[in-house]
Amino acid sequence: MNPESELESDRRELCAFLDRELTETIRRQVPLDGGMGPEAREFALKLGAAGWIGKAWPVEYGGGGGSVSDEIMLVEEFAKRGGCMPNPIARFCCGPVILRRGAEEMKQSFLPRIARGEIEFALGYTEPGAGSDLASMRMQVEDAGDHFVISGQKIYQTESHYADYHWLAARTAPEAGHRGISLFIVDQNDPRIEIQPMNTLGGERTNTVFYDEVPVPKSRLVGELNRGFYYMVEALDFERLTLVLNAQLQPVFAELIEYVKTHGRHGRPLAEDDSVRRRLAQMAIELDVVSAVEQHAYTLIEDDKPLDFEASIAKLLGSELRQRFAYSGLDILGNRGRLERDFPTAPLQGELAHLSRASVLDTIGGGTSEIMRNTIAARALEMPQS
Amino acid sequence: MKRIRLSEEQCMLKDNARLMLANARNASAAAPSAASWSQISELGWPAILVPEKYDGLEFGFLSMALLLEEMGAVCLPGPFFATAVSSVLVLQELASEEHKAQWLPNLASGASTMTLAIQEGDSEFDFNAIQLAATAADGGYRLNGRKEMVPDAANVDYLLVLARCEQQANHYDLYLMPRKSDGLSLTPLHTINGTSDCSLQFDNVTVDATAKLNAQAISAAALVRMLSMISVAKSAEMVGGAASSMTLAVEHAKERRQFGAPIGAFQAIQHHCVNMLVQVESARRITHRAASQIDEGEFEAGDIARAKAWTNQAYREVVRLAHQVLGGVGYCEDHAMPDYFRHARYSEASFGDTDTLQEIVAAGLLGQ
Repeated sequence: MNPESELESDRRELCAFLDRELTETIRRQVPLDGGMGPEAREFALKLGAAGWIGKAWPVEYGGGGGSVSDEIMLVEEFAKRGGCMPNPIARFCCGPVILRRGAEEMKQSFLPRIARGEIEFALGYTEPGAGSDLASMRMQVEDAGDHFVISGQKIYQTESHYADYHWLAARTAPEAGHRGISLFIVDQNDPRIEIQPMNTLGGERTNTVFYDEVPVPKSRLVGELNRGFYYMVEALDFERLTLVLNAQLQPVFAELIEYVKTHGRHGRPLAEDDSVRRRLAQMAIELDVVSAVEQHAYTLIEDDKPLDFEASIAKLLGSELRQRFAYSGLDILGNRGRLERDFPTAPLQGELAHLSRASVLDTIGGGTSEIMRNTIAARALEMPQS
Repeated sequence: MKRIRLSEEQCMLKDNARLMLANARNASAAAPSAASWSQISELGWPAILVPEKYDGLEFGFLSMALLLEEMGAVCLPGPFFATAVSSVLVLQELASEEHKAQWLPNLASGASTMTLAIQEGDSEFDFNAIQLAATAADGGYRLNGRKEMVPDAANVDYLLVLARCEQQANHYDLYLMPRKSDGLSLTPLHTINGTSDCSLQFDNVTVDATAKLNAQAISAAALVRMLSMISVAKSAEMVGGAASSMTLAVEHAKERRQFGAPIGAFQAIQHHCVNMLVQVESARRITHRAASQIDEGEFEAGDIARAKAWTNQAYREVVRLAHQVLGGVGYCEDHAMPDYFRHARYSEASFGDTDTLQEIVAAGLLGQ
């Protein structure tokens, strides 16, 4: 079988698996909606046992020896079903860095467990004083000889309350900016780590996390000392593609179309209302546009070609489109669109009400739209810097 | 959807076109010289969409889109689009086998130029406005009526004229005739993009029986589908114009100094430039997607109409931002930017304004 038809056959298998196993309950639990419930955890293990999570990773680390196309396939097929893979941080943010930069012992210790769906990581980057300006982070690492001791505070640690590990970025060289940051894997449930909940507009729980002289074994340093920031940046393009998945909007869009076909207002079917038709059309157009932009970025990644801006504009455009999508949809629903998610009579199960709240973060998290514009201007357009 | 990857031939076509067209930018939409049309013909460009069995290159819609992008980048005036895109597509989709075999090779070689005369109301898509009638006479037909906003009518050899079908409501027939026909008068129109559009008056224009190209009466749905295909090609041309507009603005931002720095160092200007890049790149990708859908053969009008619907919005926004970055110099006619302003304004309304295309998309989504 040639590579292309092998991929096609893999995709059919994955689709069959997901159609069978990915229930509405699980879809709602993964990844951030109050954390992973028992159904989602069980699903993660099944997904891992079937070999899907680690498909793209080398066999010696519990993977399937596949390619980046397998990775893309996972993202795409979950997105189409309105969901996201379980343990996405472990699989798409941390795993690749461990694979590329970790010591052999670390790779053997973590990659197989990630591939089996057994563990999740929480990203530990942001601090109260270090958001867009991540390089200014201040969480301190002391070298205590045979282990590290870490103290400080992180904020917006979104999975810390249920993740197994904290993927922690902290300062190992004072006054050195981005050149003095290292990455560590810390046991998230260490008793010296205090986790305080924060509730968000989007309904997901995030956390402030305090480290009070937490000991961390030397073996838990990822790669080399003071290279952490570079590792974080390396992973960015593919990560950006997993952040805002407009394909996830397809199921709710299909429901919206059904709603329009079956409801009326002012004595006329919604489907005959010009303003409704225009809005629906524009929503469909924008979904297609972002998909076309994403597909191009994936093609470059698959072909191992450099990306100047393709993934960044996918995130930039996709995030702004998601916000417009929510409002356009709500405009169509009339004032009952204000009914909240899971309230019995909420139109479209309140999904658009939820999306309007949750999408506020899309243009902020994972790179604010302003910073991304600055970066694209500098790198892709080579604009002068002041 | 399969991934879109350009073949080596497609990359060469694109790169060669860019080189060839580099010096071709004209300041007006006036007819290109005979010399440049013969250059275009020699390059085989009119043959790109024509099937091999009619002496064409059959390179496909994506290849044509790549070429049109390069043409749009220099605002190349007609009659290439009218001949090699509109007329070729109309003949392909709507003419009988016999007529295709007779006429497509002529278009493919560049021996004949041609344009499509459909509109009588405000839009090519308003078929209800079509009143032009062809009555049987002397073994042929006699045409009476008018056509409006016909691109490049004065610069082409032949016209493809859409008439009402008397026998079937909401159906149409297609007639081919020389531009120089008795009873046919052309009035050049002054549009935002020059004077190459014309209105046409048909006073007992006589054609013989072979002038009728279609075997069966043409439905409105078939016309919508065909016009949607042409809109994808127009979208490709617009992507090129938008890309050039952005380049003009970005280069200016790097050169122009104020307050002791190039203005491109200021965030507001940088963000305008990135916003242009997002519009250009997204318009390019949705256009390539639609072109590939056409090449793969499985598409509805509502699928492919999305490309120009978006590009209309994108090019409008790019022009706005480009003018904003260029400041005073971009407002003067001796600068290139006004050409792109005109090109954008003209193209947006050509073969599908946003409202019309959104309606086609909506009809596809809602099944009516």
